[in-house]
Amino acid sequence: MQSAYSRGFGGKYNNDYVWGDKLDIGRTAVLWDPYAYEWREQELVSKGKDNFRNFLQFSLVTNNNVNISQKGKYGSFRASLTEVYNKGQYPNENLNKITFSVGGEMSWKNFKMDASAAYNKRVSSNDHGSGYSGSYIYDMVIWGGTEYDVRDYRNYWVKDKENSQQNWYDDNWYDNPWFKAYEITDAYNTDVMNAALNASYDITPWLKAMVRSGVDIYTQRNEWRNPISANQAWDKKGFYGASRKTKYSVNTDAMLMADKTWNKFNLNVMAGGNIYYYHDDFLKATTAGGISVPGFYSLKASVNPASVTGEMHQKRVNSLYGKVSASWASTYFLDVTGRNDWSSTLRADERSYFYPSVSGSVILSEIVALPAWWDFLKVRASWTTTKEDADIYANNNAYDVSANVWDGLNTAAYPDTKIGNAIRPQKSETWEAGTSLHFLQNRLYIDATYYRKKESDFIIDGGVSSTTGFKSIQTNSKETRLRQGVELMVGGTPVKTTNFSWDILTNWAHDRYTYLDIDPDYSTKKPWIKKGARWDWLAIYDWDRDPQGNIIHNGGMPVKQNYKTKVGNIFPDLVWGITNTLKYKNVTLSFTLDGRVGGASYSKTHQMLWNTGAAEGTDNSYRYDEVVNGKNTYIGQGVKVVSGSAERDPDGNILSDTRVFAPNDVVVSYEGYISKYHDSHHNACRQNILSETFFKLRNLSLTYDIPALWCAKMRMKSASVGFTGQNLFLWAKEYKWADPDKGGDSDGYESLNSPSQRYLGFNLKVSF
Amino acid sequence: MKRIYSTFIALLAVAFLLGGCTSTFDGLNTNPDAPEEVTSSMLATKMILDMTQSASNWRNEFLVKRMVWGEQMDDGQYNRFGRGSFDGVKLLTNAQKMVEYALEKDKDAYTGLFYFLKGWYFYRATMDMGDIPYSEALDIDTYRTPKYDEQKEVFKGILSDLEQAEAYFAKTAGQTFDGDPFYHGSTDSWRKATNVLRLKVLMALQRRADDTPELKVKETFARIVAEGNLFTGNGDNLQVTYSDKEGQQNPMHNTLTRSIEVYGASTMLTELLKRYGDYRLFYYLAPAQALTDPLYLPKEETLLAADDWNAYPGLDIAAPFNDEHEKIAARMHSRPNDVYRLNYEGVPCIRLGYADMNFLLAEAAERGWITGSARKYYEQGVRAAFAFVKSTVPAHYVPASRAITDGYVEAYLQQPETAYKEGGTVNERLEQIWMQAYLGGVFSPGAGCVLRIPPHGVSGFSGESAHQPERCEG
Repeated sequence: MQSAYSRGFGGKYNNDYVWGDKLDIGRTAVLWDPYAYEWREQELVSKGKDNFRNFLQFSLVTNNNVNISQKGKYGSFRASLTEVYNKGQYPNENLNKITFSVGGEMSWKNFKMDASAAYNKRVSSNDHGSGYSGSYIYDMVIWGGTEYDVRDYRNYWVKDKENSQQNWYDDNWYDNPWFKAYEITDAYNTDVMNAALNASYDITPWLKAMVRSGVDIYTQRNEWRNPISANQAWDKKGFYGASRKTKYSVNTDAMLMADKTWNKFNLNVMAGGNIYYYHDDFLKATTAGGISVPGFYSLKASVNPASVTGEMHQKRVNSLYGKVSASWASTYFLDVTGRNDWSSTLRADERSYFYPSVSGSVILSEIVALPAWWDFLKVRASWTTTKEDADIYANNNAYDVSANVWDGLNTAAYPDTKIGNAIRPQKSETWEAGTSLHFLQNRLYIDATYYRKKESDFIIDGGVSSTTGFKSIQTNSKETRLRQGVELMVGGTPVKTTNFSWDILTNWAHDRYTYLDIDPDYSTKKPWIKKGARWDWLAIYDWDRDPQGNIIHNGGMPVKQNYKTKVGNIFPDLVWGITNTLKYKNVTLSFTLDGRVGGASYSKTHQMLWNTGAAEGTDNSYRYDEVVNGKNTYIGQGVKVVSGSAERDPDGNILSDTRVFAPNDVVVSYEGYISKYHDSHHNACRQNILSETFFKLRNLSLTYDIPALWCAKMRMKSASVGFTGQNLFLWAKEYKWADPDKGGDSDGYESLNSPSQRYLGFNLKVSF
Repeated sequence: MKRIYSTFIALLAVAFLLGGCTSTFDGLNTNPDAPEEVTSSMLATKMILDMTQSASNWRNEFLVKRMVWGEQMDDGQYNRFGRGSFDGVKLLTNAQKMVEYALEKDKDAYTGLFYFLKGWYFYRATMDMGDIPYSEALDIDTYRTPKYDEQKEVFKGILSDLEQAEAYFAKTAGQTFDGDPFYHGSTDSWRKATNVLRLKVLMALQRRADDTPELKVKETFARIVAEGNLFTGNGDNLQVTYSDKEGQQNPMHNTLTRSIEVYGASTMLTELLKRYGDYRLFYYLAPAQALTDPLYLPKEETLLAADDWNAYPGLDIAAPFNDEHEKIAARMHSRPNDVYRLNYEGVPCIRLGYADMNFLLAEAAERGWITGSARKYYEQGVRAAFAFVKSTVPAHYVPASRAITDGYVEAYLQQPETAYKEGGTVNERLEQIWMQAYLGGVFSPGAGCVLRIPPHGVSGFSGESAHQPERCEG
């Protein structure tokens, strides 16, 4: 972030952007005085160079765990308690977690049972502050200048106006970050409980009946609020909201299993059924029209009647399934499965769906004679199908109703997606083949897999012209997509002596995503969407360019094309990881490097840093001339059209071109050019589409196992002490201001990702 | 063995139970919070709100060049029209359902509303996009890909729809229907609004009035005026009145349109108002902060009072954006009046207005379509426009010396520039009508702004956009 120019625009201090006046040369402007609580003329000085760093705080994570267990003749029992505390990098950002779990098993003659239960509580003081609008990075790094020192604003109330006026230099777009951290809060309190029970009975030595059931319950209470005078929150007149959300799901299976062996032949048959039930509900109440008393955050403070809303979802799936596994001489294996589901989210005529699978493997090293140094060779192949039902309520043709929209009148809107077609479940079909090789007494092992997954019957809202009265029709798409790839795992132990060993494990994955069939009605109609082309495309409105690729300018400003072009692919070409473990006597050092090659996304952070004038690169002679000397000197790099014009078809392909180009020579304002060349955040510009190639030193740990002798002295069975680090180093090919690891969302847009945190810590493990 | 068989049968029974037990599934998948049927009133509220609130789209002010946006180069300001959409037509499915659910006693009233809405949304769509689907539209079961009709056929359809609307409202004279936030369901008011809309549509077809007799532009216009079911005062306006309730607040308030502080009036507006000595300058705008606030006064300037004409500089829409941007940075721009920026109730936004109706009638009289006195309509329009401003902007937002009074308005109508130029040419008088419509529609761009400036340009204004031959609709 540059610290040479102030907040503002047009070369003057003002209340938006960072294209303001020059700092540190004796210029003055009317600035807010945070101690006298008034506006007055002050000198423009870059006192806030380290604002963001001064605002961040040292953060830490502590994790403590105790486990006990006991085993006896008829069973065993265990209990565990874990406590985690996370103090975040922003002030007032804390998370507390407690987990308590118990479990046990017992057996008596032919009957066996085991059960476990866990309870988890999570409490967070403030979960606010990330993403594009209203985050700390948004306020301080992208849209904030350096002419103020954030430490002067720790006292965030104006004197005598506690709870009703924040002490800040802007009353329109942004908030005082300390005020935001302590007063604009979004806290949650979550309880999660799950329990499972498994019981089996051996009817005969080869026939077993089993019942198992599991339940998952989740309750979350949220409270969020902002005081009067908050600019980027829920209501500038004050706000309080509370919600409660509950989710629970139950899974119950009953099955019969038979396992019989004759000589070398083994047959295992299983048949069973499952009932799955899911339910969630949500209730939310918020103040409306502000709060009646400053500092009184409650639904009872609501100036107008509080607004309330609620929702509920539920679903049930019944299934029947079976599996037959056969093997011969522990060398040839074959599995066949079939399953039929009945789901409540599909219409009665498409409710039942069946999906089978077949897989087999052969341990070739048992049949074929291999050289001595080759221990093991296995080949495997499988074909599986899976089907997925629709979202809950997706087939409801129901109105969207809002209460009290205008003077007490309610409104209703008919869905603009035409619902009523028979919808089949989405389907995916995967072929997979692989091989596993071990050499030199497992000193070297390789595992390679090739897979080909075909996805079809996507449930989509197929677009139609709005003049039909609808925006889309709900249907199964005729489009089919392919995911195929290769995964390779290579590992081994290059060095192994009595005291020292070195293990390496590496992973490599390469995947491609292509269209197999296009839906003639509903697939997006663009030139790059066709059979065999990649479906993880990223397309934006690029700059208008001459045949050599130079950007065309008009009036000195770069011109954007009117049609989209494909500028890259979202998914990477290669994802890899390498873990090294070195062990010398009692000391173990392990570190992991991983990364990816390829894949692109649009970085809003990069674009907005330039657009607002905060980027370091804008601190140059053009800007200086414009702001200090009042002279425009910038000329955009590219060409201009001297004569002629081009005719294009709707996709942008040139039909005729009579244009004559000359180098662009029009002098323009540097601020004006840069804020157009790096346009506002929703208009992605070509030069901010960045490759996500990167690698990280993700994990490093150094552990010392306390020698058995000392352990015995302290009555411990074993103990170890260690040092760990995470995200210690990052190298990215093009991403400079955001972390490409989190990368773009499913559309390929990176939206002010919080900087990844570097963790350094130590741990101690003891067992008795 | 017996045990095996009995266990097996028991499990099989469970299995069949599971498979067959789907009878409650449809119940499970029905959302209790979304009804499958609603009332006509709710659908009517939705449609009426959508139709009227579109008048306050703040980007319209840049398109008609009355205001300049200081945050970035706005596309409309530079006549850069990208893509349009048919989203308005898409909403008409709700209007169809509204008629379906209507009870016997309300059927005709809601049918009238349906035809009004249909005419309205297709009118907007065709003005935006030209040839559009009409005859095959709104029937997805028969026409999944409706064909495009020629604009002439579309206009024929629109005029016929609006005529039907008028007929249904006439049939239900004196009745009211539920769900109307602005006219409270009065079919008499809707009948008048329908006729004003018909006049607007017909005037938009003025270039086809002579060469396309099948549209019957002039005859229909004259017939509507003769029947006389038109607005009789500002009280008949179809407008959105804001209040300090959630969702009903003045959209120009600075918490709802955060960049309103960098809206600056253009010279098109300020120079025109100053030339006419028009007090509406002080009602529409706030003076430049740099000239009236001692805290921001530059050393070389003198402090001016809020009632000083020179305290309201305008921005040049034809100048390079960055030059004007710098003026805004120096707070030398005339922002919208405090009542728009700081008051949650703001000023009502007119969708169809009495003042604009008078200007349509004045223009028609000038063109010989109707027999009334163009001068009478012109003066009525001017008086109505002033009356609206005076009654909707509370007095404390305007310097006392610049308050609009009846005496002031009459004097205004006698001034050489604004007195109806009966001695001049037809073009001169048309220009006067258009300029008054332009001035009357500030911040109500749906009130029928005119951006048609005759080929010889507006005297005193230079620049390429002086020759815009467009009539725009907000």
